[in-house]
Amino acid sequence: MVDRLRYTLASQAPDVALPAVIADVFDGTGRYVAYLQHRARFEVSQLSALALAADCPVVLLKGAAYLIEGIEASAGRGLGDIDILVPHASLADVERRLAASGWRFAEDLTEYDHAYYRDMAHELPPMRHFDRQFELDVHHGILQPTHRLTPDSARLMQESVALDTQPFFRLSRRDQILHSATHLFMSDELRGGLRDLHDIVLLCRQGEAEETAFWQRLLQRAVEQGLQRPLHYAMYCAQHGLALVIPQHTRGEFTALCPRTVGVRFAERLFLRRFFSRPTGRLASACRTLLFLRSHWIRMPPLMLLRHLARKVLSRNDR
Amino acid sequence: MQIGDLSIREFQSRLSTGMCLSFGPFCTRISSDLETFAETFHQCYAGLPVLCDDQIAHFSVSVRQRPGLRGHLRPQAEFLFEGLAPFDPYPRSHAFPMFEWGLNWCIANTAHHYLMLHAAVLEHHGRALILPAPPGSGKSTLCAALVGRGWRLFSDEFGMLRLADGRLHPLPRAAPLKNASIEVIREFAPTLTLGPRYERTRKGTVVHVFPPLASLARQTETCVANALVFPRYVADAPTRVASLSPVVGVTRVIKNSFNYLFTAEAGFDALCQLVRRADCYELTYSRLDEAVDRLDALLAASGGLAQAATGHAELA
Repeated sequence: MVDRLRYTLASQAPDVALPAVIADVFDGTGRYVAYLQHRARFEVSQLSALALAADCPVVLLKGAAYLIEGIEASAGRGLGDIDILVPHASLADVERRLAASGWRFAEDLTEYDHAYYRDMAHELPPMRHFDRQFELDVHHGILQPTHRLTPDSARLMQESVALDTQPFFRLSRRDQILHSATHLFMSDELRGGLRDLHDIVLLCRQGEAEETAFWQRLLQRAVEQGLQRPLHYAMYCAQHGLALVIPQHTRGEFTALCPRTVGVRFAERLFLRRFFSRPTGRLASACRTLLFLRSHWIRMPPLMLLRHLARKVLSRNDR
Repeated sequence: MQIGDLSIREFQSRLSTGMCLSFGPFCTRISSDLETFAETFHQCYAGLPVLCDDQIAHFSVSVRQRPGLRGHLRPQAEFLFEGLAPFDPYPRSHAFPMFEWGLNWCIANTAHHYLMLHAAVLEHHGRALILPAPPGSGKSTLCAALVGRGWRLFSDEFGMLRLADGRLHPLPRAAPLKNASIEVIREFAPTLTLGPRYERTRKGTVVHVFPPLASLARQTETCVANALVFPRYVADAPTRVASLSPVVGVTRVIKNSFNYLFTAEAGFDALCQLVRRADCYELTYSRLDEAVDRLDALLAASGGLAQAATGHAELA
């Protein structure tokens, strides 16, 4: 986020004289992020032969997609791994090709693990290149199939767009926003933090400049995919904390995205506090605990969660 | 004002609410509620400048007793960087080595506007020497020995080559001696001030050499290097100096750098500039006194551009 701040300041207030310490910090993180981006570009290029040969489109997700397309959302954004999305039906083909070019699962997996990651999760466990130690996440869906929200990833593939410079695809702008919001608010306890929220702001501005009916089409897609809630949270937090402006004529529809029940209002407060207050004190740790519990509660139905955990505990005793 | 101008009581009270200090080029906001830590710190860094409290800091760190019930049985200290604990707690009695290690961690992970070498840097008669070496090559021991003979301690752990100006910036800190080298230095350089003994740390027994006041007083005086010496301690080996070509010098410095990859062309250029000016050698040694004498002679004969090699850096 520091480097995103550097970029934002440099582009919006280029004449501001920075205090020497801030200039140091920006200089240091700027170089580090440039390295991370350089490395990610290289890793994407290493995957391009595979993407050409695979029997399915390979979609770059998140940071790697922004970077290769070269849009503003990649500015000041470091990335430690690459995420790709492929259709579930092509997993075996893609995995075989990845294995042939040196990608291995980062941890030893049991048969149950393999089945779990394919049928009950939306991504394979992290893979690592045997030589370069770079990490790759292979997704075959958006959210766990067991998640309360069940967006259809086939729709995402249909609307995805071919990139100019590399044989990869990216999600449509509105799907990029929904995907980012869904991950931020519905699965990872805000792990991507403020940076991911700011990505969403930049993606919205990008979409707004690219197509006239952008906001309506975003709304429409959220309804189609049942992702009203994460979009609501993203728009709520971005408007309150990052000065995102939704045009007057659609603002009403955004406000009506999902019923603001007591639970939703509570979550809004929780998110705002987590994004925009300093993470110290007892209230902050209570806040973290609540977010952690919430992320598990919405991920699987309770019985299934119990079965899964029991299985993990028992298999550990076997070894 | 310096830390030594404050009484230990005053220092402890300032430290408990947090204060800004300058470690070489880095403004560090530090707070701690641990009394023994404050005592050791006060003694070690008496010559360190105290900055005003509203300074913007490069790092905000805190060394504190770990909360929780366990504290009554086996008290632990934790290191916080920007409010988060990047690594496991230490026994409370090891708070000082934990801080030293923690601040190194902060620098190594964020200060990429420097090319950071794993090296000791020393200066003598206006000429500077870089000793890059992997852990276990006797770098700290040799560094302490030279400081004991009156060399100015630039830094023990980091060779800080600023990319913007290509100059070495001092970072005089406590230099940790490990295991056998503790007694060696106590005997070789009795004038040095050594800190408390820490048994059974991750690196065995550790005793710190406190940075001399004269070195701390000059911690804004930058320089360029005149010689680059790769030291290697080999038991019972005769003292031997071999000249290295600049190309070999560069490749070996790269192996001893924390962040060469992150600095890209700027780092490469800085290193090329470094070996154009400084001569490169390998030093194999077992006897400290001989090694020190050889380094003295080597530095006097090295790197033609010695004049005007020092300059001042201003902190924020």
